[in-house]
Amino acid sequence: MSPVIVHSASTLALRDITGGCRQIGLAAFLAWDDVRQRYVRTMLGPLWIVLSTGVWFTAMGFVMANLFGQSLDHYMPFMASGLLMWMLISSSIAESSQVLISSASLITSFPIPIFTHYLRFIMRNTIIFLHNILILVIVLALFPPQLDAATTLVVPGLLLDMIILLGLAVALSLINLRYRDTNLAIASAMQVLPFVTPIFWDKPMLQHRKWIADINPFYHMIEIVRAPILGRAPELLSWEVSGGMAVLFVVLGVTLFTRYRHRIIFWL
Amino acid sequence: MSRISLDNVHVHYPVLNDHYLSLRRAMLRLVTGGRLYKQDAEMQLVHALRGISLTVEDGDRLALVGRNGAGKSTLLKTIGGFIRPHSGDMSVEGRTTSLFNANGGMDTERTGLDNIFLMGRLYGVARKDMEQHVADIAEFSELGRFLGLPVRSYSDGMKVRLGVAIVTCLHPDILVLDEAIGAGDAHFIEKATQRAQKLYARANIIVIASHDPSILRRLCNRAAWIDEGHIVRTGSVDEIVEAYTNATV
Repeated sequence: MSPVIVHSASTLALRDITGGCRQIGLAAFLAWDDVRQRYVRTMLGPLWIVLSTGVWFTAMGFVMANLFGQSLDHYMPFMASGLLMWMLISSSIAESSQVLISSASLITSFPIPIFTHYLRFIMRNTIIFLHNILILVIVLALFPPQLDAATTLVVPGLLLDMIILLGLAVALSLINLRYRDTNLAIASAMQVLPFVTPIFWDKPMLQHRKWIADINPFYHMIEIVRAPILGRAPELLSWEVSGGMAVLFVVLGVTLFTRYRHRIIFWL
Repeated sequence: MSRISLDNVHVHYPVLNDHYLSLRRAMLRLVTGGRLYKQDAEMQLVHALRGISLTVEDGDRLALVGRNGAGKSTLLKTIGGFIRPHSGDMSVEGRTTSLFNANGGMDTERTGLDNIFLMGRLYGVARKDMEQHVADIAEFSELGRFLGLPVRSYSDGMKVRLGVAIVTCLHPDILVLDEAIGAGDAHFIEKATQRAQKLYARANIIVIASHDPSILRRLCNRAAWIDEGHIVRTGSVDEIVEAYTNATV
């Protein structure tokens, strides 16, 4: 084993990130185990999330379609795909601030890369997301949209969103570790967002105030995955904003991690 | 070949009070140019290790002796890879396994059996290798069927027995210990000590801090006396224990 000679904080932090990526099997093991633990001693197991979300989608979809005067086969795929993405984004951001705190016992007992805990976090949320996709599949089977070759854009869209959420998780967890009231501020913001973001209503409904959607980064994050599913091309703006956010949050996450990684153990 | 080498290593750590953790006060400080809550900004630093230089070779069992607050635990955490030295050079050749308390890293929501595999994996032991130890762990810890229940339902003694049973299955390269393994009722200490001896024998290097001279005499071949963050003296276990005991009398 090569000697661990102490270098600068940046070298150690970058080694932590590369080490975490190399030991991805460990992150995967922890993520799967986390998901499994959620279903222990429940009757329905993973089916529970799918059923409860399905009931919710059905009720909301029916009421909203009527409110907006839209047909179900137009509205349901729109709402379901948007909501599915929103659930991934909001649960990831809400959990982000706690990543380090909930891994505290591991961080203080095992010198494994701290970045492993971020990979574990994103993999866990991906697994749960993939459970929920079942609902979308059912909705799309009942109300099939126009799928074409452009639908494959879903994959790069999803990957880009994952990168944004990972960078954001690193940044938010460090900020919240140091200033413990951060997650409360985030929780408040997250409550209002699903209503001001085009999830239950679509951008064209804004008429001459379309900027409300355009300035909302979450709209773009959702749109790059939702649009291909609905058989429409996402606006270039959405790709630009999402790409920009990915760069911004990766840089922010890496910068903060490099500066503060070695203080994490003191802040826990 | 395992080896630990420290050269003039310094470690500081911050002491955070409640107010220091508030985002609101930090924001206000920023906005008012530091006039409000200025005292929060003055972070207190503890200079925990002051110029530690030490070499531990393959086969060494090093004892760390000193008062509470001398810096023994900080030194162990630094060698174990949890704390980054502020300055100085440190080189650790070999994989470190740190056992700072019997239940370190255990997830109390998971069952005893789940924890066996979780801890094993975190210590670098694959699941199928850990499976071979399960029967032995069940028997030694005397937990039997309780392994199917979540650890949070265990008594403190049961948790310790499980923790000891798991860690004593390992094949550590460099073992870093804060106090020796084994606590609890008299019957268990006897069993645990014997089993711990086998674990110690398998390690290439041991660094252990303890207040119990008899354990150190039995286990270690060298000792270092730490006081106020620096090494006062190194030598044989007998020599150092005697010097330390005389100084504190």
